Amino acid sequence: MDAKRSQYKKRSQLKAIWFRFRKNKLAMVGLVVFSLMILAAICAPLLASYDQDALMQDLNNRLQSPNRQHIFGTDQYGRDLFARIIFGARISLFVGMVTVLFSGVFGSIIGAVAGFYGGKIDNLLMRLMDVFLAIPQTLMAIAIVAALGGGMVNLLLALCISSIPRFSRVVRSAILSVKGQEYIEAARACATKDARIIAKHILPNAIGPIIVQSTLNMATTVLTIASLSFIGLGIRPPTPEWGSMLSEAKEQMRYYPYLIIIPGTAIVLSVMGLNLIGDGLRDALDPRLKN
Amino acid sequence: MFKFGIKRLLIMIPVVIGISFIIFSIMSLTPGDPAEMALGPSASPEDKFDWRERQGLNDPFFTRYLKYMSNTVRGDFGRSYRTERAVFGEVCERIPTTLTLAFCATFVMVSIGIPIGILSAVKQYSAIDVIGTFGALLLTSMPAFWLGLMLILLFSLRLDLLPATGTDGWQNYILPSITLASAVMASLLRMTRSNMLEVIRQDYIRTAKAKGATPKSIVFKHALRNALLPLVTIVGINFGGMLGGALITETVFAIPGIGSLLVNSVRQKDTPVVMGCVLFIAIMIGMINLLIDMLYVYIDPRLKTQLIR
Repeated sequence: MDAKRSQYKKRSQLKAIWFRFRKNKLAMVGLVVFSLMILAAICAPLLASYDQDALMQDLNNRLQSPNRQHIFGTDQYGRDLFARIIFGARISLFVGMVTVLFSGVFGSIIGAVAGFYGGKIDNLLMRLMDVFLAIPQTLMAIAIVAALGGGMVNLLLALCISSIPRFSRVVRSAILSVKGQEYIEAARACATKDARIIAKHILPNAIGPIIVQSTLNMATTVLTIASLSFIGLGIRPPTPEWGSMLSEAKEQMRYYPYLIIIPGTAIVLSVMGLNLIGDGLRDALDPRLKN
Repeated sequence: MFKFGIKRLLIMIPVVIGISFIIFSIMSLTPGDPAEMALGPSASPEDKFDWRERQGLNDPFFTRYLKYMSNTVRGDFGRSYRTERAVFGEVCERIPTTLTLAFCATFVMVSIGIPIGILSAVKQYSAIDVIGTFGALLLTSMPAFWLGLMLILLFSLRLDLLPATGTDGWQNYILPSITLASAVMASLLRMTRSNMLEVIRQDYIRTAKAKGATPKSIVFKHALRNALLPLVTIVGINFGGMLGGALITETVFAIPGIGSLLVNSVRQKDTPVVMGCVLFIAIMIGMINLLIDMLYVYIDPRLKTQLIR
C-alpha cells in the first residue's frame, strides 16, 4: 500500500514537470532536435556504411557539391559528408554522455560530502575545486590531452577532470539548500547512516539542479570536443568527428564553403538542442525561477 | 579596504601554487619525452640523456618542482626547450597582443551585450527581445572557432573587407574580437535582461513611475544602476575566461599571442613555456577577480561596512 502510494506521488510529480516542460515551446523544439540527432546517431549504420562511406577515400568523387547521390556532398577525399556527419554524431554524443555521467557521479560525491559534512572537509574540498576552477576548462583539457596524447579515452579523461569541479559546486549548493530541512533531522533522529541520508533523502531532493547542470554540461562538452579536435588535440582524423572535419576542411573553405557550413551546423544544432532542453528543464523543475 | 586587498592577495598565493603544481605534474608525470621533441626522433639515447641532464630532468619529480618554483619566485622562469630563449621574454613579448585582443573583445561584448539586454527587458516580448534572446542562444551554441571560420569566409574571402590572419593593423583585430566575445556576449545579454526584468518589478520603480518620472530616467537612473551591479562580476570573470578562450581564437586567426604560444608549446611538451603561460593566465585571472571585488565596494557602498570589519 505504502509503496503504491509513493509511486503514485512520484509519478504525479514527474507528470507535473513534464506538463510544465511541454508548455515551453522552445524547450520542445530543443527536445525534438536533440532526439533527431540521437536517432540519427543510433541509426547511422542503417543509413550508411562506416567503412565504405565515411572512411574510404574515393578520389574520383572528391569535392562534389551537395547532389542527389550525396545529399551533403563529398569532402576533399571523396568521402560522403552525410555519412561522416551521422557517424560524427555518434562520437560527439557518446563522449558527451559518458563525460556527463562520470563527472556527474564523481562531482556529486565530492559535492555531497563537502555540503553534508561542512566545516574542515568542506573547506578543503572546495578550495581544491577552486584551484581546478581557476584554470580555464579548455586550458585544463588541453594540458591533459597534450600530456596523455590524443585519442578517445584520454579525451574523455580530460573532459571529465575538467568538468568535475563545476558539478561538485552545483551539487554542494543544492545539498546545502536541502540539508537544513526537517525531514533530514527526522532521518537523523532515526539513527539513519550518513551515506543513506545522502543517497536516499538528500540527493533525490536536490536532483533538479544536477539534471539541469548535466544537460548544460553536455552542451559545453560537445563544444569542447569539437574545439580540441579542431586544434588537433582531440579525436584524430580520419575518424569522422565534427571538429576534426572542420579542421580538415579549413583549406578548402574558399571554394567549397559547404564543407565547413554543414559540420558546424551539426554542432550548433545539437548544442542548441541541449541548451534549450536544459533551460526548459530548469524552468519546469522550479517554476519560481522563471521570469 | 587596504587590509581586504592584502588579504585577498595572500589567498591568491596558495591557489597559484596549487595550479602550478597541477600543471607541472601533468606535464612531468605523463609519457612523452621532451628530449625527443627537442632533439628529434633520430637522436641517440646518450644525447638525449645528456640533454635531460643539462635541463635537470633526470632529478626526482619533487626536486624538480621545488627547483622550478624557487627559481620562479626569484623571477627566473627557465628557458624554452625548443628555442632556448628565456620564457619570461617570450611570454612578455606576446602579452600585449593577447591583452589587446581581450580588451577589444570586452569592448565588443559590453557595447553590444548590455544595450540589447536592456532593450529586450524594457520591451519584453517585442521583436527586439525575440531577436536578442534567439541571437544569444545561437551564439552560446556555436563553437567560437566555427564562428571565426564563418566570419573569415564572409568578410575576408567573399567580401574581401577585412584581413583573415595576422596582426598588422587595427583591422586585424575586428574579426578575432567578435569571435572571442561571442559566447560571453550571449551570457552577458541574458544576465542583463533577467536582472533588468527583476529590477523593473521592484517597488521603487513603481514609486518612480507614480511620482511621474520619465521612462528614460526610470530606466537609466533607477533601474539600470541596480541591475548593473552583478554584471560587473560577469564582465570581470569573463575577461579572465577570455584569456583562456584566446587559445582557440588565436589559433584560428594565426595571432601570435599567449594562447597560440601555449597551444604550440603544449604540443611540443615544452614544459617551461607551458608553465610560464599558465602562471601568467592564472595570476591575471586572480588579479582581475581582486580588482572586481574592490570595484564592487565602490559601486555598492553597503558592502563597505561588511568588509572593513
